[in-house]
Amino acid sequence: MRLLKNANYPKKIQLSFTLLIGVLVISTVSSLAIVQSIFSQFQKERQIKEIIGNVAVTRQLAGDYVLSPSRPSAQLVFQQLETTANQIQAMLAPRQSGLETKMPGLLKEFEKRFQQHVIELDRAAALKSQANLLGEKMVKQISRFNLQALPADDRQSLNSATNQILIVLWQGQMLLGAEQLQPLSDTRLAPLRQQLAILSAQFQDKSFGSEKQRSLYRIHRDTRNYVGSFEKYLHYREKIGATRDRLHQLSSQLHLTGNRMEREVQAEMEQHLLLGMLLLGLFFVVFVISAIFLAQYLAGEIVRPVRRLVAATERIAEGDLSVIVAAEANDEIGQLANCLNQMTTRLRSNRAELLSKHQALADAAQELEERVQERTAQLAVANKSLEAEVLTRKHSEQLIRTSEAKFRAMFELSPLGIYRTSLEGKILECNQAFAEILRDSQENILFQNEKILTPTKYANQERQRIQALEKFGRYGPYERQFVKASGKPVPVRLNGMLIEGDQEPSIWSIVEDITDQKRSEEMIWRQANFDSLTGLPNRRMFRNTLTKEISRARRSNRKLALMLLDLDKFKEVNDTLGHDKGDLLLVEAADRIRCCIRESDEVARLGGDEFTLIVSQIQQPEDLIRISRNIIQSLSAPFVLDNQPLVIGASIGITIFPDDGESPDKLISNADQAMYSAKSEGRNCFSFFTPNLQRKAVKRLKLINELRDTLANNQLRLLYQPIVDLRTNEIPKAEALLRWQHPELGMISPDEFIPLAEETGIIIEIGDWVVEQVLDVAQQFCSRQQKIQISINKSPVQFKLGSENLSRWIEKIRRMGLPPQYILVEITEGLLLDATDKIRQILYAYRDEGIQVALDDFGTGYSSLAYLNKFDIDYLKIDRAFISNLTEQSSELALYEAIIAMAHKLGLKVIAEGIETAQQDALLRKMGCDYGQGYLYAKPIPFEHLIEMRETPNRLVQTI
Amino acid sequence: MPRNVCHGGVHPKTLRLLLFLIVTMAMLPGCEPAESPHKGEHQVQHVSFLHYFSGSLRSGFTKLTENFNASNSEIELQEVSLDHEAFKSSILDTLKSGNPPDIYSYWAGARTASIVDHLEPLDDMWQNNQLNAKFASPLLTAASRYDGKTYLLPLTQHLVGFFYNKTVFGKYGIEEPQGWKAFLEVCERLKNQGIIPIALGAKDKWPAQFWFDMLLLRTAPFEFRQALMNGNASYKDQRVTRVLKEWAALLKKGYFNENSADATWDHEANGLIFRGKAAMTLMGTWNIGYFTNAEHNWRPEVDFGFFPFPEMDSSIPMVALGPIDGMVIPKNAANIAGAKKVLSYMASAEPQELISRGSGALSPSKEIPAGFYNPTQLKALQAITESQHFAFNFDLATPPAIAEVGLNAFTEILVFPEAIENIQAQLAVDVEQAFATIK
Repeated sequence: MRLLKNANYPKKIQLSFTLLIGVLVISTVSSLAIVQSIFSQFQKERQIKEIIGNVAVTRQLAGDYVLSPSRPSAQLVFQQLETTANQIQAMLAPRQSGLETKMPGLLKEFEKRFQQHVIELDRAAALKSQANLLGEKMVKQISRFNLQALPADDRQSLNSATNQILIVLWQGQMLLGAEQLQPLSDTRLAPLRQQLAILSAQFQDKSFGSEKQRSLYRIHRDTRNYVGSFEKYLHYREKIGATRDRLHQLSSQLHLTGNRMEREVQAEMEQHLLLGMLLLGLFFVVFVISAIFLAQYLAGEIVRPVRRLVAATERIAEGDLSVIVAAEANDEIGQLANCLNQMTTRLRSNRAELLSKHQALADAAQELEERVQERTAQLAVANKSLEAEVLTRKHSEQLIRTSEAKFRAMFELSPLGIYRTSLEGKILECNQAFAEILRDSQENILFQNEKILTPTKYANQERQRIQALEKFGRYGPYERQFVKASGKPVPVRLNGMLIEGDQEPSIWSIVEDITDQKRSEEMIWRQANFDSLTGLPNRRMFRNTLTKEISRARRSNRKLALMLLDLDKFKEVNDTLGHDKGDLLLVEAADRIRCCIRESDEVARLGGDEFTLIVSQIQQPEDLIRISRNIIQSLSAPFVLDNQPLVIGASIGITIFPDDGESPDKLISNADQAMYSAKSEGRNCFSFFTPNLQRKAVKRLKLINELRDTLANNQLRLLYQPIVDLRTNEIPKAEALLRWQHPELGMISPDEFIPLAEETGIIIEIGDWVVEQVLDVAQQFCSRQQKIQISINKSPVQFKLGSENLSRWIEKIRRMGLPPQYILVEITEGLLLDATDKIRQILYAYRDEGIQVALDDFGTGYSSLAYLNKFDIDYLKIDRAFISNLTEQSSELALYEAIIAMAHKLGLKVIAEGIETAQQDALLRKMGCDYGQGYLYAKPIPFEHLIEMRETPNRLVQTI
Repeated sequence: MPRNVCHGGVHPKTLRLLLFLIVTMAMLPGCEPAESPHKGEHQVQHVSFLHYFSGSLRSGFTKLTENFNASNSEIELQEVSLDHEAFKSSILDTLKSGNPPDIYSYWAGARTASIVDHLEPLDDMWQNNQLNAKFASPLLTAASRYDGKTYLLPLTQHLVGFFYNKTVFGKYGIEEPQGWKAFLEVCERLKNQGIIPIALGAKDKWPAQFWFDMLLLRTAPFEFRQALMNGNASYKDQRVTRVLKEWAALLKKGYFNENSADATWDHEANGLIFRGKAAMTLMGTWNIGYFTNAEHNWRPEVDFGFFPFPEMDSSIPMVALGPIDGMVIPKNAANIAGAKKVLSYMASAEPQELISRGSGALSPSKEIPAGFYNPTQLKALQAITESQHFAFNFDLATPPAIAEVGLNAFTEILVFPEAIENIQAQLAVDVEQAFATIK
């Protein structure tokens, strides 16, 4: 400071600026440090996001593994876990906050459980294959028995024991085969255990010793192990379920922790930013203040001597000519002081001359004073007349006060809120009703600015109001919200007027509380647009949203997906457990779906068990696959209704705007078709709409239309495929097979058109036609004295819809006098599964009439033994799918043998379908199969050829 | 006078204060980005441990894990329990997978030998902790060392011998038999009193093997048994014939319970002993845990007694039999260093005592004083000390495929004691075939 004082002006200025630059440099360095800190925070955020991404990938991979377990996919999960763990280790090592240290622990726990899961799945698979191996071994051992060599007693007991074992094997194989459809459960194992108990009882009361009995003991032991492996398998399934649940739980914990970490980092980030901003602001302020101080100081140093000169000048101006200014230095200001001293000396001499002239002026002023007094007297007269006018005015004021009182009463009693504001918006007065609307007291409201009642979103409306007031002197009505004392909004209707009285102009506003009106409007809107059960948007709302989203997507040139979701097996739940339970299930399903989607996606319920999903931001199609998988997975988890776990599933159809279509209707119809296709692919899956699907749908529609005219146009034909007796090589049977000779499309496969016919009910008409044809053909064989049995395929639909026709054709057979042995009816297992009384009666009617029944497609469905017993089935037709796998090496050989042995045990004959190779023929003959059917023997042929073939039997024998 | 007129400047003190403020402010944010690692804190490592222990031993391990984690801030041990079956069948897969747990429990002997290529040697840890001194006996060396390196840390040492109902013995004035002849006399006397002399529950197959093992070890040289287990001797050998004949004789005399092939070893066979229906059972020291648990609450050497399998041939040195459980570290483990720290801990006295108490087994560690054991365990300890060799039971001594064939044959003998010739012939053929597929 002293340094500054002693320096001359340039030096002073130089020093001040140096100081200022110093402050600037320190601020800049600190700012850089802050920026660097923020940057490193950014980097950390990026790393954490990467980790969260990796965790998400891990969860996805683990999810994939759970859906379809395999070693390589497990390996992927482990690799991903390791990568993620290393990444966390590398990044988080120096940091220690709650969540970040939790993550590695969770991952390790996840890895541990996942490992356990993999091991348990391995074990379950091993037990399954152990059961298969044991099964094969047992069948081999049984076949090694030479029963004939035994005494009759032993033979009988051994025979019954082997039968029991065969039943165990049979049931076991069926359980394993049907596991996809019906998960193994304790109750499903019960028959197996029961069978084992029967078997064990047979072994108990024997004294063993011979080699044969020891073999039998071994088989018994194997059977026990066989059943044991099922029980263990069941045990593992439970464990797997528990582990899977734990994994699921951990997975969501990981997800949550990830999210929380992200939030934490973001919060930290915000804190850093805020602190940085604050510090930067502080530097700026410090810098500005120091600049001001220095500037002031500099100014002071320059201005002080100048001021002293000015003060001297002022005293001279006041007349004090005795002033002498001392010169501090010999700089520019010192010279100025010297000049001023010379000037005062000269002024003193001029002053005496001026004083004499002043006396003359004083005389003239005296004369002017007298004139003013005369004028004042005139003004007093005028004042009297003014007082009279004031009296008149007081009377008018009385009138105004009465009017004012009337207005007051109206103002206070009005149910509508009324308030007056100044032009600036200050509330000058208000009535009680207004205060009540705001749930506040008048005192509090008064002198507030009405702006604080108005949410900022009405800024636009507020501008309009001011314009209206300026232009028309009034405004409104407007609907808007006011903020209540509690801070909550209240909807109001508002209008008002500008009143310019004698005081300053003010605005009177009238306020109506429209809360009730809004509420009922809202309720009506909700009822119209939302589903009351699930709280999801309904069909109407969905359509509006879809239309909006489509136009938005079109504007921003983006894609959009529409997904249509239908719950599988929901109808069964409704039918068996009742609508109340069905509703509960729907609510839960809606919740689960909601949990699987992003906030930007919109889910709606169309009605029944149909839901839709609009996915508006698609980065890539995989997003859709992931969403669909998540939904299906979530809906496949058991629902618990009435303490009973219930498994349903969902099928999803997906279509994409604008690739598949541009209008809402088109998209909905696409999604519907895709969903239909997903259902037909076996449920619990999703399907995209493709042009191929579109073509299929069009073809389907065309076929349905044309199917109605096939009979009239004579386009249907029946062919007959011979069925060979594998013992005698004769042709005792033939299956009637339907063909559609389409004029444009050529021969159409029954697989293609029969489902359509069933769906549309045309099958009844076609079925009747087939029966007529077959009966005619059978009649012709009969009249030629040729014994043959022609089989007719009956669809379940025919039983359900056309039962009268069925009994009618029984009548016809009687009338024709055709022996019933000529006809064989083929039904499918599905029919027996949900056999109603009506169906049962029809089947009994066949039996009573002497018409035999065959169970078609055996092995593709439930394959239950119980039905065969219950419904008097005569033949079992093993499906072609099974036969096509049949080679000498097939692992299912034991199963075929068990099926055939079992069928014979139950008094059924077995027909194998789809035999194509001589090896299959040989194996089936060896296993004791009764009949064979397939291209190896003959293709389906016209009736005439069949007659010809039967009359020259050698033809067939040669082909074999 | 001029001084009164002019007030333009800043007071020197104010300026100084301002400067100080600026500098302090500038220093403040400078500290911020330099926010450094918090020294003294470190990342927690995780070590996973997969084991097959169940029952009271399982809870013992839970306790051990808690103790370890409480005293170790650097490592968190996480244990998972699986059952024997799953363990046996999947260990090879998980070892090869490249992502095994950091520590496994495993059986010493042939099973560990079969996976030794996938294991991490423990020699450095062994030396650092001077475990040679703690796990000194030749038997434990055999259990730990394979191909010249140490791979397994022993946790339990079980012994197979006779457990009997002391009240029943007391009631008929029966002493613990010394020698085979005395044993047969005891059986005969008990049978005459309507007591089942020997209870056996071989529903799970493995309990029957101890009879084959002990009869063989008492009548044939130890080396022959080793040869038999390794496939270098045939089951047609007359020494095997002798064992089966001896066994069948006991069966034919009705010394065993009738349903021995179908009964469970614990609830049914031990139940017969507990209720006084049967007198003795041949079982491992884990039976101590069974009899002393809260459900039975028997006191060792008061309610139940123990004696080793009697001598049958004085020219054959005594051999002790039983399994040894231990811990191994896979070569591909993610945290080998951490796993070794856990193993160092497990080798110390506290966990060894906890495991012994939970399992009924003797502790392999020399550090555990004899005073720690209950009277029955002391008897077992004495029997082991007096034995010249220690053998692992049949299903741990011979490869798994052969073990399965053998166990099936043993249960068959229980049902058809008359047919031992045929059973032996078949067994010899099956074992030969099984060894052929392995080799």
